[in-house]
Amino acid sequence: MSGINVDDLVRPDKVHSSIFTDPKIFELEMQRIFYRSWAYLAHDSEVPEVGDYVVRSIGRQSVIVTRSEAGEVHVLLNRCRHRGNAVCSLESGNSSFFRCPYHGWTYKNDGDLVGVPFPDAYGDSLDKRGLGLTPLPESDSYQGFIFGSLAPQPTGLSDYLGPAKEVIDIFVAASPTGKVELRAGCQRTVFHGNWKYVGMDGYHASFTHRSVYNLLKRKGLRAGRPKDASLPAKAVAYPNGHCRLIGGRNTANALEEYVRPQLETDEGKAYFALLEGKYGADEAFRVLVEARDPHIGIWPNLQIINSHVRVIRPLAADRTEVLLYPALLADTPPAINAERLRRHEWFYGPAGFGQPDDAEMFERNQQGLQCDLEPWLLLSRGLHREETLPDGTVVGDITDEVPQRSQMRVWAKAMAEADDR
Amino acid sequence: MAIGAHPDPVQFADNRRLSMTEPEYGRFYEYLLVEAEMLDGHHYDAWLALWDPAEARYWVPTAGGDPVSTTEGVSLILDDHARLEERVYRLLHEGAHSQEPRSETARVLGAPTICRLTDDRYEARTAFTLAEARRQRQTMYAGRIAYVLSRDADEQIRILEKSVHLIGRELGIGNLTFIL
Repeated sequence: MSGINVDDLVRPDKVHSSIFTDPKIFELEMQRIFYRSWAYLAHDSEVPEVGDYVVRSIGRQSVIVTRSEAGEVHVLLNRCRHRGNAVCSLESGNSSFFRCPYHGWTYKNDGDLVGVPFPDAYGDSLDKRGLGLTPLPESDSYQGFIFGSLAPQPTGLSDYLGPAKEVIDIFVAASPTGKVELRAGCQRTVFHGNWKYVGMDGYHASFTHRSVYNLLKRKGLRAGRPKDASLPAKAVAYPNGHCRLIGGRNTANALEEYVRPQLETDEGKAYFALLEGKYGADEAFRVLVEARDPHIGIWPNLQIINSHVRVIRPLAADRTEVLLYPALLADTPPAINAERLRRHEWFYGPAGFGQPDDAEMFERNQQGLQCDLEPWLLLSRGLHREETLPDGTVVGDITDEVPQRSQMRVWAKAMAEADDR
Repeated sequence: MAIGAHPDPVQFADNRRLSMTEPEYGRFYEYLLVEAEMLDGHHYDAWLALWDPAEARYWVPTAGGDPVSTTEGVSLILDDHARLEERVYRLLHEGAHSQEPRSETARVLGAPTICRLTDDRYEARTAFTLAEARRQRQTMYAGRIAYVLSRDADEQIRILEKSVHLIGRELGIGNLTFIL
């Protein structure tokens, strides 16, 4: 029994402050969202060779993603089956075995227990076959994005992602071989605020990012949200809490302001020739423009924004880690990938010109929510004009709170499900 | 001097630095102290003028693969002069919420090792600590800095490169929008 009544906290058009500030609710989120849902872990390209591994987390639980001798990806809990020590202490590496530093129990990189020092002491009672590193009950991947779940899932990953798969397809389509590679490193950032602020918000940009708009205007680039009925900017909420912002006219402007100039360089011409060979010229332009910013959030912990993959890691009700992994395009001229990285660094990371102002807003939000005489946050923007499609997808204007409402619905449903599911 | 070179004290095992006279060494060290003072005082325009516009490279690497090829690896900061100028513009104009109010900083630079790279180029390396206070929170930063400096016939020193290798950057970094 949690003692928390979700119906008191989430209404169709508003939510209660305490879902962002109450440590008890944070604990329940760990149990009912992070330890029950599909969660993103790593990308195939981070463990390309046999023996490669990375250590990631779902909530507070440490998870090893390894590639075994057979070339298969295994997703294992980072806990020795003897007395529970974390068997892997590095963030990444290459190893055939994981040896627990405490008493020397040794596991193959597919999880099998292969060595127990001085086994005589167990007589015949130790069955090593049942004492491998615990595999997650569910793991699967889509376009190389590896997900896992600490609980059995009613639906497979493909159904869970639903229409969001098409947006991931757009992201990888910018590579002539349809592959992205997360080998450019990671910007690891933290802020003092709740993890749920890191959502999809199309309303904040011209206020929160005023300094960026000023920098764009100085360069003679368009900033802001031009009205163009033929290319509306939209906020989209897919089933299962996945949300997307579609730039409309702003996205189309990118063709003239960013894409075409780049294609005038030698590397740009070579790159476009590769895409043209794969898609034809018209489609190649569409791919280049669309892939610039998929701007999608996959509930609960993954976002793909501009050229990077972002992981949201809740640490406490008032502390969150945000990890940014810029994606390189496979089989693409180096100058194209270098431009992606420099464009990323301009806005993102702890010293970028944009993302720190988001984090600043999240920290001030956490401060503001301490004043809870009037505890409700309004999420009613655009409620009267949103449209629900037959598959359950909800569409509204980009500045409407469609994503926030959708994620709160998914949040409330998960939080209301009893523990004995 | 290739960017990405990792601070390596063994490089100082030869005696190139010993060829530098004490007043010469003091002149460089004082220059770096003045640079630090400008940053702590938020004198960003004056600080920008210390840089060589053609070759400026202000670099703060991420954790992990450094030295890393910057064409294939992301940095926390990799500014050429144009981007450095934008960084300063942002800090000097309204709308940069993460620096409203500004970070108050105090930094301590260790005495640098300095070696001559070419006739008019020098490399200076040192460790630093920096305390930053802003909005109810104080944060400590520490790391190693490598500078590449030029000195022309008129004894005018300019910064060509400044690389700041923060320790603990793999632990997660908060608001780094002031200038290190």
